[in-house]
Amino acid sequence: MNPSARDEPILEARDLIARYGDRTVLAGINLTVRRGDILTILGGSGCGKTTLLRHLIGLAVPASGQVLFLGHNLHALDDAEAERLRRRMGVLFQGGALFGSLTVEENVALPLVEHLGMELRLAKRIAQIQLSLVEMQHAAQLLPGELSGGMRKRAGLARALALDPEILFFDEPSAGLDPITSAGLDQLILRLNREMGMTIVVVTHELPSIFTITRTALMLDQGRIAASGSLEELQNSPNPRVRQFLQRQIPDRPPGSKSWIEAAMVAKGSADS
Amino acid sequence: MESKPEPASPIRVTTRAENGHLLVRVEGDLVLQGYSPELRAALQGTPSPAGEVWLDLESVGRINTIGAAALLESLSELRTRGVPFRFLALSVPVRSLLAALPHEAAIERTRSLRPPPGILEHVGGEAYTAWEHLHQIASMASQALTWCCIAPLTGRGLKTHFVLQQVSRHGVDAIPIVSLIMFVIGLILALQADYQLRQFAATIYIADLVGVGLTRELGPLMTAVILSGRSAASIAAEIGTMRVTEEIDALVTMGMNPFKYLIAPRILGLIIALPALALLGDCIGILGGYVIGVFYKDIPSASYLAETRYAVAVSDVLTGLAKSAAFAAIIGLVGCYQGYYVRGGPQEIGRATTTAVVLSLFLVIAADLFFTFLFYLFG
Repeated sequence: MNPSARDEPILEARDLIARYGDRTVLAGINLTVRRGDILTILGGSGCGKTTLLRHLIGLAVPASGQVLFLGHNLHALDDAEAERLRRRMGVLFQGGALFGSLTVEENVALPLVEHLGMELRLAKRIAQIQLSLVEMQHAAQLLPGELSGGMRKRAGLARALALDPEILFFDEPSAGLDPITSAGLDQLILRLNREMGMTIVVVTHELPSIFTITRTALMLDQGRIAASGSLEELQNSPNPRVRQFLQRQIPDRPPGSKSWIEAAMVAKGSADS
Repeated sequence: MESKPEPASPIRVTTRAENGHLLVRVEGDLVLQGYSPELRAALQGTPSPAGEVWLDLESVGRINTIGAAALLESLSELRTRGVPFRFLALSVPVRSLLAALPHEAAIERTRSLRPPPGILEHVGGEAYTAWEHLHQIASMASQALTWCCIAPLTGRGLKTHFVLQQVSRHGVDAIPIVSLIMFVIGLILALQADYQLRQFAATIYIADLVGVGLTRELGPLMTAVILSGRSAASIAAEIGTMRVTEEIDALVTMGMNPFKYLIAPRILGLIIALPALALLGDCIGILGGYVIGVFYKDIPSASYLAETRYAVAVSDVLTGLAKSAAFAAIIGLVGCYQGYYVRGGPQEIGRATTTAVVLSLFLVIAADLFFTFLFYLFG
C-alpha cells in the first residue's frame, strides 16, 4: 500500500442524527475513518455506540445526515449497489451471528459461494485457510451451537474476513469473554491491522481493550462526541466525563448540593424553645 | 463462628402535641422483623392543618432498606397531604442510610417521568401502531412478491436449493401427521354421512360426500390448519431467533438480501408443499371413507370407487389446490412477518410464534370463506 493511500478517508459520517421515536440517540456526529487506522468508539452503556455502528454499516437509516463509504452515500444507493458496496465491509457482531444451520466452515464459505460464484469445494478450502488465520481450523466441521463464546467470535471474524473487506467493524469484541480470550482477540485485531493493513472500527467500553488496540479514539456521551483524538488526548481532555471514563471513576456529586436531610432538620434554636 | 443476630427490638411510637407542632418519637429497630404499621398509622393520624410534624428518630437503633423505604413512604404521604415535616434528631444509622438512598424527590421524578396515557393518547398510540403494522405488512408482501415471482423471472436469482430444503421441511416432514389426520377425517366424514344417508337408504352416496367434501373443502383447509400450527410457528420462531441473534443483520452486511435468502424460499417452499400435501390429504381422506364404506357398510369396493370417480370432478380437485396455494402464501407470509419484525429478547420470539399461529389460522379460515363464497357465486 502506498503511503498516500494510507491517509485516504474510507468512511465518513456527516452531521449524523438518529432518533428512536421522539428520542434523539445521536445528535449530529461527524467522523472520518482513514485507511489503515484503528478507530475505537467508546462510551458508557446507552450512549449511542451501537446505534452509531448500525448507521455506519448501513443497517439503520439516519433521521438526517450522511454516511459515506468509499465516497458513496450508503443510504442514497439502490439495493443492488448498496449490496455490492457492503461486500467490501466486514462486520463481527457481538455474538458472532453465525448461521445456526451451517457448520463453521460452511458459514465462512457462504459469502464466497454466493458472491464470487465459487464452487463449494474450493470455497471450503479457502474457508479452511481463513479459519486457520483465527486459529479455528480444528472446529471447521462443528455447528455454531457447539462452540464457546470466544470460538464463535473468531469464526464470525473468519467469515467477516472471507471477502477480503477494506474495513472491519467489531461490535463489543470483548463482551462476554474471559480476560485471556478477550486479550487474544485484541491481539488478533492488532495483527490484522499490522499485517494486512486492515482498517478497523471497534465499538467497546472495555478499558483493557481500549488501552491495547486504540490508535484513534472517539468518545460518545449522550449522543454527542465528547472527545476524539489519540488516547493521550482523551486522557488529558478538558471534559471531566471523558477522564472519569478512562480512569474508571464515578462522577462526583454536583458541588454545593445540600443533602435533603440537612434541609429537613429542625433548626437548633427552635428545638430548645 | 457465626454469631446469631440479636432479635430486633419492637418499634414504639409516641406522639405528643407541642406548641405549633406534633412531635413523633420513634424507638426501636426499623428493620424487616420490627416493621410495624404503627409509625405509618401515627403519621397518618396527624390532622392536616396541625402545623408541622417533627420526627425524633434519635432512639432508632437499627435500620435497613425496608425500614427506610417505609419511613420514606410515610414522609411522602405526609407531603402529598400537605403536612410539612422536619427531623428533630436522627440516630447515626438512620442518617447514614437515608443519605445513601436516592433523594426522595428523585424517586418522585422517575415515577412521574411517564404519566399514564389518557384515553385519547391511548387510542392515538394504538392507531399509530396499527398503521405501522399495516405499513410493514405491505412492504413485506411487496418484497416477498418481488423475490418470489419477479426476481426469478428477471434472472436476479432464486435460491433453488433453499426452496427445496423448505419443501422438504414443511412438506415431506409433514406427511405423517397430515396422513394420519386426513385418514381420521375421512373416517369421521364417512360415519357422519352414513348417519344422515341411511335414513334414505342411500349409503352409496357416502362416496360422493366424502370425495367432494374433501377435495373441495376439507382437504385443503385441514392441511392448511395443520401447517398453520406446524410451519407458521417454526418459521416465526426460526426467523425471530435469527433476528435476535443478529443473523439477519449479518446477512445484510454481507450483501445478501434476507428476502432472497430467507423469506422467498420459505414462502415458495410452502406454496409448493401445501398443495401437494392437500392432494395427498384428499387421497388419504378418501381412503378413510373407503374403509368405512367398504368394510363397515359393506358397499362393494368397485361401486365405491366408481361412485367416487363419478362424483369428484377434476375442477373440484383443482379448486381445492388453488385454494391451498393461497393458504400457503398466507401461512408463509404471516410466519415470516412475525419473525422478521421481532424486537427484543426471547420472550418476544414466543409472542411472535403464538401470534403467527393464531393469525395464520384466522386468515386461512377467512380466506377459505372468501373463496368458497366466490366459487359459490361463480362456480
